[in-house]
Amino acid sequence: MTIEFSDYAKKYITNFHHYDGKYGTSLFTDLVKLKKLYDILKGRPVDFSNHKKPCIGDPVPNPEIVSSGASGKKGGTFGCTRKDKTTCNGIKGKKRHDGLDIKSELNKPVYATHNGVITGVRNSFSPGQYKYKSYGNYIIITFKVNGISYNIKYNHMNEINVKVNDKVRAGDIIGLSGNTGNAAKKAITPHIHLQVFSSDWTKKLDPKNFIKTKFDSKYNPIKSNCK
Amino acid sequence: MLLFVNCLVIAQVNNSISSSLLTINGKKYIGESESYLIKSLGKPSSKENYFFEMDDQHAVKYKYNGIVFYVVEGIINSFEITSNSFKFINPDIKIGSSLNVLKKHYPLSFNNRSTRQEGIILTLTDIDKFVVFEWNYWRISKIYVLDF
Repeated sequence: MTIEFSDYAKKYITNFHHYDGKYGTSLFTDLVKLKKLYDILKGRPVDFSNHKKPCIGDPVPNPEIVSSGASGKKGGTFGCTRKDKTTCNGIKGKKRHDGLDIKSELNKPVYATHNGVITGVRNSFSPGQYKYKSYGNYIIITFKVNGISYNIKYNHMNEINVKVNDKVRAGDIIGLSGNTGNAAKKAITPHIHLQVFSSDWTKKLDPKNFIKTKFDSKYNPIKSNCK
Repeated sequence: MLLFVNCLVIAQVNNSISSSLLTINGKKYIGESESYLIKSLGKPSSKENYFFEMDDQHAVKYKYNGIVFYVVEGIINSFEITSNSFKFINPDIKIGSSLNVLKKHYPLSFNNRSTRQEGIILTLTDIDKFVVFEWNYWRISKIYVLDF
């Protein structure tokens, strides 16, 4: 939940400031202080403009892959990368992981990785609300690369700051990272479960091919000197 | 030497065990079949559909008195224990057992414990699941095994 000044409140504050500078200024200052206090209590940076931004094309600054336990960081990558008592693509003892787990502290800004349109949002989970095997809150951006459309999905969000049909540019803040859904257990490092789909949703694609930062053979980020 | 040992402790926050040790009343369940479950515990008191959204699979919750199993494509995926009828891993680990039992068997995990809700965690060495012991008033109140 965010505190925002309604249009009425903004107009009221402005008018007060205009008609009675001293009283209006005091009221406006109090309201600003209240919002700042709320943000501090919720653990959010008060002013995101000072927050370190990622490279354009990354969802968070300096993305790292999160370990999934026995499989280590490999289990945070896309494909038959996890270990279980199951079979994946004919490989016994393997389980499919359909996304890329990017480490992210709770309640930090998440950035659009592409220019596109918000085509899906789920915002029904309270921050940190657990549900086994659930994606929690998520945002879907539809975007194009070389004329081909894709959908990218950011899961386990604590807060969503966009709505369907919003246009976003790469580098825009779309919400706050979190641990809603399956991620809300202490054993699981907070992360964004990033997914990419074909435009018709029939194919799941490897998200690492759609973000700026690349990873080496040990799944460590290869630092790029983006500005 | 002390610094080296301390570094090891810092690196491994929780204890870890093999999934082969995850027994309930002496029997393994994770990865076993639905028919094995029914053969071991009888028919469940109820069954409930549950969607594994992240796996795009339909699971079934098999509910018994004090224990629930999640079964996916006929294989047991995970479970949750709430009754002291079921001994878990060791004869002295069950619902209602003192946390001192976990302190004895899993000291790293015990020392890393947080609030009641988050509990005490064991990671598994061979599959991507983890064990959680929830506790209340210094006694184990719930035990479950979940996927990462």
